[in-house]
Amino acid sequence: MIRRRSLRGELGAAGPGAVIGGTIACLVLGFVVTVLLPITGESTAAEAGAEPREYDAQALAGRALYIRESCFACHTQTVRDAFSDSLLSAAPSEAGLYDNEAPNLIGVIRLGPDLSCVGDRQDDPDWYVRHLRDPSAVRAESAMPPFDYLSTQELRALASYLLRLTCEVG
Amino acid sequence: MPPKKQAVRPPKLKDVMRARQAEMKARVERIRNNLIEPILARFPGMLPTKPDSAAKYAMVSSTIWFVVGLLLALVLAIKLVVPGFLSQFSFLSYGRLAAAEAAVMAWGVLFTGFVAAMFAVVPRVTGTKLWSERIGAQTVILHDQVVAVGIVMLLLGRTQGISGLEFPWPIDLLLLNVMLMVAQNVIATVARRAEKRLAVPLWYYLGAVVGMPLTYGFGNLAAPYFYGVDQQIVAGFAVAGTGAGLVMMGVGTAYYVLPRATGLPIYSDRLAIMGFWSFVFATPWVGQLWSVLGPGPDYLETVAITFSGWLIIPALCVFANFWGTMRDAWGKLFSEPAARFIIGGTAFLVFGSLHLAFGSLRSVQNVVGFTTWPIGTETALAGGLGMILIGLVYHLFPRIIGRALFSAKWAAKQFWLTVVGLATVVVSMSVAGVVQGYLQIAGVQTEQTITTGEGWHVISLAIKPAFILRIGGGALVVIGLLVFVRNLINTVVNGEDIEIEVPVAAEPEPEPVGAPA
Repeated sequence: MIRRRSLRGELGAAGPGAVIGGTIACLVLGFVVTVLLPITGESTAAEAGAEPREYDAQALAGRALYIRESCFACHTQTVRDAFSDSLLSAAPSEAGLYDNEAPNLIGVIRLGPDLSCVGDRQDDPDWYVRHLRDPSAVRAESAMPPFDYLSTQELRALASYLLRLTCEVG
Repeated sequence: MPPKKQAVRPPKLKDVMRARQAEMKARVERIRNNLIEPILARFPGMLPTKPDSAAKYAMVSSTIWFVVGLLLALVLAIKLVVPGFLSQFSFLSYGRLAAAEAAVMAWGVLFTGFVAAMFAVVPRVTGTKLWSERIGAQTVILHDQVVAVGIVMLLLGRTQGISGLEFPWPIDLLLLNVMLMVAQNVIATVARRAEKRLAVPLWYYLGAVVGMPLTYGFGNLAAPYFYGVDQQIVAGFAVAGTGAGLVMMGVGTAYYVLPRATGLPIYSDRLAIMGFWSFVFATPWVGQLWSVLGPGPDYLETVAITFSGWLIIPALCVFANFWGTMRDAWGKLFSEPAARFIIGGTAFLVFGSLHLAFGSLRSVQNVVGFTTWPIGTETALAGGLGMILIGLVYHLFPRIIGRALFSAKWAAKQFWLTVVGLATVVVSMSVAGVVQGYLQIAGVQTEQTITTGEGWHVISLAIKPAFILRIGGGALVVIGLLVFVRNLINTVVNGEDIEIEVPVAAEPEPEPVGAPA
C-alpha cells in the first residue's frame, strides 16, 4: 500500500528537507570522487614524473609579481598532450612539475604564448626587462600591455623568474 | 500491603523541555521588544521592515553593478586591441582588471540580482512573508561593501592567483557569511511556508543556497593550501559549484517569471524537477573541464567531459518546458518584455551548455584548448543569466515600486541590442578560438614557431578582427543596458501609478488571548 502510494505520489511532493539533503548528497558524492580520492590517492604521485622547479629568493619575488600582475590571465604554463603544443617542448608537462607550486599558475587561456619553457627560448635577462617595459617596441605586433609602472628591480625579479621556466632535461 | 504506586507522576522530559522552551522564547521576545526594537526603529532606512524592501535594495545594487561591470568589460575588450590603453596605471592593467571584471559580473551582478529574485520570489510562492526583511536588507548592504572592497583589493594586486577564485581569503570569508545569511533567510521562509507544495523555483533556490556556500567556501578557503595539480582539482570543484549555484538561481527565477509574465502555466513541473536533479547530480563532476589534456589525472578529465555532456539533459528539460509553456502563445513574447528576456536568456543558457559540452571533447580541445573559445562559452552562459536577471527586473521592479514600466518599446530595443551584442561576442570569440587553434596546428605542421613568442604575432593578427568585433558587440550590450537603466529611472520618476503587488495577502491580526472585551 505504502509502496503504491509512493509510486503514484508526485515527484514534486517532496519537502525542503529532501531537496536540501539530496543536493548535499550529490555534492558529497561528487566531492569524494572528483576531489577527495584524487588528492589523497597514490595515482597522481606515481604519475607525477617530472621534478618540481627550484627558485631562489629573487625568482620567488618575481613569481609573486607574476601573480600580483595576474600574468596567468593571458599566459599558461603547461605544455598539453596535444599536437598543437608539440613544438613547445620535448614532452608534455607532467603533474610533478607543479608539486611545490601554490598557486600553480597553469592558467586557462593563451592570449599570449605559453611560458612553460620560455627560459629555454630566451636567456637574456635584459631582453625580458626591455620587453616587459614596452612589448610593442621589441615585437611590433605584440598585443601585450606595457608594464612600465614596475621598477627596474621588480622587472629584474620577474626576468629572473621567467629565466627559471625551462623544460630542458637535466 | 505496600501502598499502591499511584502517587504524583514526575513530569515527562518532553513537557519540561517544552515549558523551558516557551519560557526562553518569552524572554527573548521581552528583550527584543524592550531593548532591540527601540534601537532598530531609529534606522528605518537601513533596517526596513516593509515587504520587498530587501529585494528592492538588491535589485538596485545589481543594476548599478551591472553598469560598472559592463563598462569594465568594454575597457578590457578595448585593451586587447589597443594594448597601451589606460595601461600607465598599475590598478588598471589588464590582468588585475580582468579579475575585477569577472568578480563584478559574478558577485556584483548575478549573485546580487538573484538574491533580489529569491527575496522577492520566495515569499510569493510560499505564501509567507520573508523570514527577516531587516536581515535581508543588511545582507545586501554588507554584500555590496564586501564586493566593493574585494574589487579594490584585486585592483591593488591582492589576488589569490587562482583563475576563478581570485578574491583573497578575508573577502571569501565575508562572502561566505553573506551566502549563509541568504541561505538562512530563504530556508527559514520556506520552512514556514503556507503553501505546502514546493513550487519549482524553490527547488532551484534551495539547491543553490545550500550548494554555493559549501562549494565556494570549501574551495576558496582550502585551495590556497594545496599544491600543483591538487590545487587545480580543488579549485575546479569550487568554480563548478559556484557557477552551478548561479545557474540554478537563474533557472529558478526563469521558472517563476515566465508563467507570471505570460499568464500561462508551466508545461510540466515534473520535467522541471527532472532537470533540477540531473543538474544537481552532474555539476560537482565537471570541475576539470578547463584542464582537459592538461597535467592532471586523465580519468578526472574524462569524468568532466562525460558530465558536461550530461548537462545537456537539464538544458533540454528547461528548453522543452519553456517551449511547451509558450507553444500556443508565442505572440505574448512581443507584448511582455519580461517573457521576452526570459526566453532569450534561456536560449543563451541552452546554447552555452551545448557549446560547453561540445568544446570539452578531447578531439575539439586539441584545437580550441586554451584559446578564446571558452570566452564564448562563458559569455553565452553569463549573458543568458544576465538576460534572465533583466527579465526579472522588468517583471518585478514595477510591481514592487508601484509604477508601470515606462516603455515596453525601449525594452524591446534593449532586447535586440543585447541579443545581437551577445551573439556577436560569442560567435567572434568561438571563431577566433578555432582560428587560433588551427594556426597553432598549422605552425606545428610546417615547423614554424607560431606557438612561441617570436611567431605569436601571426595569431595576434589573425584574431584581431574578432577582438574588434567583440568591442562592437560589447558596446551594443552596454548601450542596451543604458537604455534599461534610463527606462527604470523614467519608471520611477514618471511611471503611471499601479497597485503595489504585496508578496503575501495581509492576514487579519489574531485577537490577543484574554483581551478585555
